[in-house]
Amino acid sequence: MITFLEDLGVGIIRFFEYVGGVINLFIETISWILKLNIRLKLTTQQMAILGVSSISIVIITTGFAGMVISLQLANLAVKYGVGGMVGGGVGLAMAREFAPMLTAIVVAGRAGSAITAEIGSMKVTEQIDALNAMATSPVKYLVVPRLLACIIMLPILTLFANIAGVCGGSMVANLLAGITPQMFFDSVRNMVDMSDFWGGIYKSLVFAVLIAMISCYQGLTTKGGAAGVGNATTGSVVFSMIMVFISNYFLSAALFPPLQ
Amino acid sequence: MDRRDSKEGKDRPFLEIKGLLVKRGTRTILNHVNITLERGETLVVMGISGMGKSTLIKCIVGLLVPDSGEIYIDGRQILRLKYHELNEMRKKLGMVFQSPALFDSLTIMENVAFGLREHSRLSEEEIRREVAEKLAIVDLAGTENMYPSQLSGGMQKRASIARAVVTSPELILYDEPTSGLDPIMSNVINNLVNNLKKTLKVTSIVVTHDLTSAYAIGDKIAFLHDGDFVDVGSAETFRNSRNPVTRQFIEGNPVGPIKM
Repeated sequence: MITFLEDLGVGIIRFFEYVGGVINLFIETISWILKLNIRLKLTTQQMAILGVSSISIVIITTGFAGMVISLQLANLAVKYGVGGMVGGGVGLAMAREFAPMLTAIVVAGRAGSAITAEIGSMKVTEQIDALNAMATSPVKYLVVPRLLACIIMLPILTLFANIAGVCGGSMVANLLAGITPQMFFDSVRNMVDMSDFWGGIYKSLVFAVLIAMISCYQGLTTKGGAAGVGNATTGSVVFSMIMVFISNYFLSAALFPPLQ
Repeated sequence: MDRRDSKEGKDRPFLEIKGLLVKRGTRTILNHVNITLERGETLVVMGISGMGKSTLIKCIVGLLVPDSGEIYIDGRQILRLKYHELNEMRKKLGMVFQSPALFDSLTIMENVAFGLREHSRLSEEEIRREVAEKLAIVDLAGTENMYPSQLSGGMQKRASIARAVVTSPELILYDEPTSGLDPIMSNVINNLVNNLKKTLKVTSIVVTHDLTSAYAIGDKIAFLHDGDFVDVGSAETFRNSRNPVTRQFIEGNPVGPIKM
């Protein structure tokens, strides 16, 4: 019993240490950004590495997500005679939930792991110490460009995700239920408000901060050789995804409150 | 407030370490270590592996915060400096890492030029000239556009020495600069340390196991054992030391007071 309580206590302390560490890193990163200490070249490099190279995976995953939502909705809608609502249903699901969520998960898996692996291997090979010894802040040099790249690229990727999802949905609705693209997109226009679209974009900004900060923190706190880098990378993806799911619920509750 | 201790500053040696205590868990790595070094002197720190030699130089460059003690560089207590003050101090230091901690995503040119590009106002042409000159000294001319992974271990070590000396620092810390180098290249490095001392009055601390190198460059040789300097003196006194610990090290005797 006592060991269980001890383990629980240690676990809770570690959790708060971790959260505190990530928040501290975020504050430090923001303070560099506010001082306009930004490396444009490094930031654009990271935008290409983290963002542009994720576009194809984002389009494939969200395209198929839109298709599967349409598959489920189209059958039901035709059965109950509300075929005109399929476009709106797919559009709403994509704009509010699937586009930002799936994009964040793809980016956490692809870009987040890359960030942790790179910074983590720099840590274990003393390159982070070398930066410090050369009077260059690793936060300024490594974290700021990665945070900015995520903040800029994730909303753009979410926009692509919305387009891919709705187009995929329209295609399936047409093939399975004979809903013409005209009808489908009219329904999207009627039912999806700009606030739904922007809500999803706001979410993607929060996810961008979570993924970038968790991935950089995991990298900077990596210990113990190649195995340490592996553990840090796995931890970064797992923890980023958990935080994306948890924060998504609360963001949805705040941005899209249920009708009274 | 100027933190230079004005009363004592002028009379203080260039580097002074007082009562440095570093613990890792329950193990004491450095046990109230004291040492002083005048400007332009070369101190060689010797000792068997794992005795805290690297820890000592990491404390001097501010990469590791000791449990207690004082470190004065040029009259300033570096452990009391604020972050930006510490970075100003670090610009006067050069460090050669054991690993050798070159930035693996940058070319050799970019690695060596790093400190100049970050902190100097030299033109690109001047930077290129400085880098080429330093690379030529360590016999690496023509490797500017190669990446660290394309060089052998010894070549990486030499590139890291070029990176440390390119900013003309006042104090250079070398962690095992000649390990992994052939005897001829070791001598080139020894000559480089001696030349920097003669021409620029550079103060150096060299951590090494290499007795030949220690005798060639050391104004002072200090032997670190069980967390403290057990023997400090000139190369001549070190060579003829009667301290049983030092003798065992010099003779490479597996039997003696140092338990392997």
